[in-house]
Amino acid sequence: MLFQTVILAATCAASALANDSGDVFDRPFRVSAGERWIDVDIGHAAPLFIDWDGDGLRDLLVGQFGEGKLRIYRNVGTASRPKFNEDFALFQTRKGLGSIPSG
Amino acid sequence: MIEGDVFFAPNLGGESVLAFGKAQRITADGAEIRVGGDAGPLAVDWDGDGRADLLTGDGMGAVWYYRNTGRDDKGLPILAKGVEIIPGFTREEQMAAYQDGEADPEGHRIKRPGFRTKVHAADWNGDGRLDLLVGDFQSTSGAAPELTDEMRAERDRLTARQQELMPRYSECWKKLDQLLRARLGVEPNAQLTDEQQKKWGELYSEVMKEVEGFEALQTEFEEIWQELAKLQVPRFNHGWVWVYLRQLPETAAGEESGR
Repeated sequence: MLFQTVILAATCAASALANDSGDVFDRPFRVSAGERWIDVDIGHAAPLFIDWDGDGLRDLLVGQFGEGKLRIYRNVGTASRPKFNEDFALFQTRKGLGSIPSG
Repeated sequence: MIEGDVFFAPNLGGESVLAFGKAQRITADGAEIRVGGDAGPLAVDWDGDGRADLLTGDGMGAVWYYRNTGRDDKGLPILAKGVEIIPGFTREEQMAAYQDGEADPEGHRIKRPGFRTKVHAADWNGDGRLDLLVGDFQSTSGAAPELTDEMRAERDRLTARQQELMPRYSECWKKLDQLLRARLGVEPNAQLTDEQQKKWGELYSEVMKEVEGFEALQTEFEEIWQELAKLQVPRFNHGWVWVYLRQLPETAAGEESGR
């Protein structure tokens, strides 16, 4: 417990986070869409950052627990500064809404 | 119980037609991988050596990295012991996170991913290095409702009733389990197959009627839950997407010497 407390104190004090793999990360931040953080229904966000619409910029796909739906946020920013509007599309198939069982 | 094992199912089809073989457990450093639930594996070349490594999430909020060190005689990756590249919560921290009484419905005081982490690796800022995207599950509390003495008494009455009903309720669940297993021809403690679980779901409400008093109990429980929810601190579920930007090696070294 003391060890964990020390680690916790150390990571809180440093501006960057180091770990055993040699990776150093900046402090994490939450992705926003418009003015608000992306926050999916009943949680369990599952992100994927790929070029969905083929415009050369990667978009953000986020799966959610709520009704097993998949949100698609189009990147309206740049390659080095991704940006998303609050509006998102839901993944569709030819048969309509694409979703997976949840719960 | 969500165990957190990681499986591999070989694609026996081709690129256009996928056909998966039997799933087998993945090992790392000679032992089968088991994280704290909700593994959500991702195969990605994290260290840039041309071999796909393994990243997983964890029920307790960690992100694990298993480096691919080469191939075994079957051509399968040999993974090194897992490294917790994002630390998870301890049980005490989990409880503390849940019981934190301060109202913060939107989660402004939260500074890191919560639980059941889902991992993706992608270059977020175009600097040529893979960064880490982490989806999560967290719940926050709202302001405690202001209760009158009557409301407090009602809350206590409902809680007491809930406790009073609980033994009968769990007895009903046991009977339902026995009946369903008999119908499906499954031994009392045997694990259900996917097919059996599906049938279980289909038969559930029908078999429930055969357990005396179960439906009425279920209805009463649901009513109590609904009423109690109005008298307790409200909880809000969240699923945010966190980005951990990975620093370039020279930046990282500068950070080290700067301390």
